[in-house]
Amino acid sequence: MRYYHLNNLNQHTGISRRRFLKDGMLVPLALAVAGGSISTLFLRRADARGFYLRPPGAVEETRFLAACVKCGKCAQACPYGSIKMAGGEAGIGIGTPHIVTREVPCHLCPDIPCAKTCPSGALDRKLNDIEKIRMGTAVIIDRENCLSLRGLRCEVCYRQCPLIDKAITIEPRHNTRTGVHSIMEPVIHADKCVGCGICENACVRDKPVIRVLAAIPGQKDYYEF
Amino acid sequence: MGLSRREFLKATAAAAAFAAAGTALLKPEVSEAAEDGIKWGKAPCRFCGTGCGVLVGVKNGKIVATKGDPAAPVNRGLNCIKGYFLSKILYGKDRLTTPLIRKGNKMVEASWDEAMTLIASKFKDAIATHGPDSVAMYGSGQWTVFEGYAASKLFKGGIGTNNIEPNARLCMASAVTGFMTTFASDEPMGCYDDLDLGDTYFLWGANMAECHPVLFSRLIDNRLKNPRVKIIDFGTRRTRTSQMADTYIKFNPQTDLALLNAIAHVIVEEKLYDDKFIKNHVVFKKGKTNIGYGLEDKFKFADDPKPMTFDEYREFLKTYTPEYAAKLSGVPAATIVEMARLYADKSRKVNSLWTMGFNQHSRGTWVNNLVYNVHLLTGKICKPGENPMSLTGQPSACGTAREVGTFTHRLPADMVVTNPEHRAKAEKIWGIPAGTIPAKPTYNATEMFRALDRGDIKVVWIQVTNPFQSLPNLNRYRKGARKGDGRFVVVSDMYPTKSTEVADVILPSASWVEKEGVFGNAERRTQQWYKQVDPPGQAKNDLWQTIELAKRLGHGNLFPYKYVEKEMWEEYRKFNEGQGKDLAPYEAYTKARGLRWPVINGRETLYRYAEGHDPYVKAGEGIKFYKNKNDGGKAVIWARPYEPAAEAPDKSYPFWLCTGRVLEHWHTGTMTGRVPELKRAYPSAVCEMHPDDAKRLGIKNLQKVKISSRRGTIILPVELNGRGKAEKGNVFVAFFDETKLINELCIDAYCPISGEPDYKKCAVKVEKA
Amino acid sequence: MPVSGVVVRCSNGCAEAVATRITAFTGVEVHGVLPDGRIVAVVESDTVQGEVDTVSQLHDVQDVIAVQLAYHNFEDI
Repeated sequence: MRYYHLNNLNQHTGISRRRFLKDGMLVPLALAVAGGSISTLFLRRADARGFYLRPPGAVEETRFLAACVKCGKCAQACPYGSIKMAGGEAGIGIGTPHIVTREVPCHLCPDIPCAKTCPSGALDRKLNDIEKIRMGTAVIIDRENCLSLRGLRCEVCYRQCPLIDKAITIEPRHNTRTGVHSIMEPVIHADKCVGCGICENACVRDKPVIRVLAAIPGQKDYYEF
Repeated sequence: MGLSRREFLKATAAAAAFAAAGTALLKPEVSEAAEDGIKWGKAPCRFCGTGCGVLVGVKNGKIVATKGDPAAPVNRGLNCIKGYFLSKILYGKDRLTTPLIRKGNKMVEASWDEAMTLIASKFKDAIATHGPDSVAMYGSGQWTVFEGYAASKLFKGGIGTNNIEPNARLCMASAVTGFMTTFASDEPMGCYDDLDLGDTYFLWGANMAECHPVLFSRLIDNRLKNPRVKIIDFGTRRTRTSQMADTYIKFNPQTDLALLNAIAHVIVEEKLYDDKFIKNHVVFKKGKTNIGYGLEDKFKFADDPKPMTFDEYREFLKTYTPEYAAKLSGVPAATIVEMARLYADKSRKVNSLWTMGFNQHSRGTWVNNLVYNVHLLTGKICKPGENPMSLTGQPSACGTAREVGTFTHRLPADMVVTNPEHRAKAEKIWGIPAGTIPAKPTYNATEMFRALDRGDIKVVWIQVTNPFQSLPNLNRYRKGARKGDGRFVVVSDMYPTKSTEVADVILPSASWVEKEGVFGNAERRTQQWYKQVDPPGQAKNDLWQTIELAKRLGHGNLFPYKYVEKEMWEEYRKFNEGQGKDLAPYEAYTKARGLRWPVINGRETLYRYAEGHDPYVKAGEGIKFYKNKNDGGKAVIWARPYEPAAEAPDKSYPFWLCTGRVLEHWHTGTMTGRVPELKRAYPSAVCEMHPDDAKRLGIKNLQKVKISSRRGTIILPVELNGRGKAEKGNVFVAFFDETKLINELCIDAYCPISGEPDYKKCAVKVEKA
Repeated sequence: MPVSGVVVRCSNGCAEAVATRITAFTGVEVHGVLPDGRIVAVVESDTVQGEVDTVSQLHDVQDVIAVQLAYHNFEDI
């Protein structure tokens, strides 16, 4: 397996545009394997979350792409079928495991069978606390269509969150339109959110208004020189 | 959809007026029709007892949208997500559209005529061979008023049997007997305005955050506006309600009886009671003790009330020291004292709220009495912002089951079959021969299905409910239904359910806005809606079905109406007139977003029994519980003791099992389970357990466990850190999942006075699966 | 035939009841009851005088505090 300078990697497609143009060989191969056509290269753009949601314990993405041997053991170990193997549209990431949270989210098994079974270290086998993972961060991406923010009693994302009251809390505020009800706003706490996607999966809107995005880097609440 | 110029001008006029009023949200119906061809109509929500108003948008004969009704005072345009998706409940793929008759192991399509002929013949045969008490109707707190009224009239006034029971026996019966024994009249004295006006709220075993979502939103807003507001959650399980309450106080199951008595004890001992109120408005009584649990077939109980003096009551309370209650309940004695003083705090407007934790209780009547005791001792009752409020579970347990009286022992307007004057009045209004209505009640719901099991009831018709998923000790009753030997089960529903599974005939039914209807919610608000779409296929209104059977049984004369709903309403009103439960003429409800009864001269009543609010209370009377004529218009404080649960944990079955609901799903999930969004939000049942218990048993989160009681066993994944956190020694399972019939494990013990089963307490063991 | 849109202000908590009462008047249509207790209605009559009379009658209904005219059209239809 050739090792690419992965610094240039475009996060959105898993392969930089330059690579795509230069390495005419690799991509058609990848697509041939996947059985797709050229147009499927950018297939995932339409609903792309901007990155691939890797299983629990995944190392940083560039190292992950190098380490993952695409054996599929993590997908086999997952009791819920959450882990899927990426197809040709993932470009260089073809055959790597990822989670499509809107279809089947990660359920945060306490004994983390996926990471334990990874032979190459793409997933950290030594991980023992499922709450310490950081697959991504949930974000409410559409406040206007969030039913809870409209004052309705939804908050399904909150009630279904496996880290309820830690990763998501409810902050009630006065509903000025009706005057006698409260708006129960789900607030995500990035430092606790593990990015499992149960919230995105449970969201009752046709297009989920809460989605797992790339993990938000922590920041201190004071200015640091 | 063309508008005449005139219509357009009127629409413009209305729009301008709305704009002048400063509201952009409300759109007058006509101009909306002009805009996108959608015609909007009002209806109350199909689900819980809150009774939110919705607007239903119809285009080309199909519902295309529902939204919260901004003009509805209950919810002002808001819903919970069950209400948000209301229109979808009618359009599940497997909607029943033709009558089905069981032939061997198959259900075969039939015509209505075939089905009704068969049903009528089964009724006739059973009545002829075994008497009228061999047939029965099992109805619902989700029946419209018309459906309940027609069923009651047919069975009590036509067939001549008291074999009619609603599923409300399983949810509100204890609240009813609590009301009747304390106030001699059913239903609360306050209304939802109390949620805005009070400052202290005690919630008892009620997960309001999930089960009365829009009301809870209102309660929380009160606290946001008034920092003085305190919400105290007394519970056996930590819920979302506990999370948002100011204080969560956990107590051991069943010990609510001891806690309330201990609170009364402190109030009496520390002289925190309102002496004047007690002298003017209260009498004291005691009843029997050691009253049993209804576990034996044909269990019978009759209380024997005896008057007491205040001193005797004080003597009775001496046992219930905070220390005694602390030992039983696990609530620290100091907390009990603090809560008692909070209840009695003269600077606070105190309310109590409860639902199934109190009602589905083997001493449900008693615990309802006991919470009223605290309010009666302190005089905190019948005042705006200060009331005990029994929250109703179903959309029309009040409006239909309770007000129409579709119980074995009841008649409309608080009347009972055991009272000859009441029977005579009903017979007169119904125009039937004197003596038609039997004087003796027969079976409560549990006993009714026991009778079916034994064969004492041969034919039962089930409408708008799903007992073969919801009854406790379910296995016995499911088996009983299929024992053959002349048994015949008819089920009217919109979808295949666990009940249609055991039916001999399935009748496809219209639902919600596929028929004209009236519901009555928890705050006595009666709400009407018109039919807006046709039911699918050959599905028909349950009202039509009942009247059709009546005709075939020779009782068509009971239903001589042309405009059935309106004429039936005007007839039904006669029961309530002058009884403190007055209902307005039908027209009024077609226009209003509901009216709270008693409605006198078009004016609704917010607070019963209170001068200035309730027109039945004369000037100068202040507060009068005028329905309790036997006690001179006073309410009753009952001395009710603590008695243990029917089945407590022991060595073999060391856990308490509690059952209940989640926000996403309604009851047995037959409707919400067919809304893809709600199913996706909460797909299947889990077993809530405390992490320490799980660790001790070697169980990890999400692992499957086998839960067993003496009656049944079930396998579920465990949830150690979910929305509901079980206390140690307790597990909780919701009952919406038709693939996980948790009610098989529940015990069919019931409150001897109310007949309501205890779904919150039985003993189970938990093992790794 | 004149048509007007009016906003009726009622005493606290009486809006629903007032709505029921004023619906009984000929030529009055209630189009909405606002959460704060005001009612939006449309009044029509054969003549302007008739319209003035109807609106005056609205003022006298029990629990009505005020009736504001928001819109008036007197096209001959």
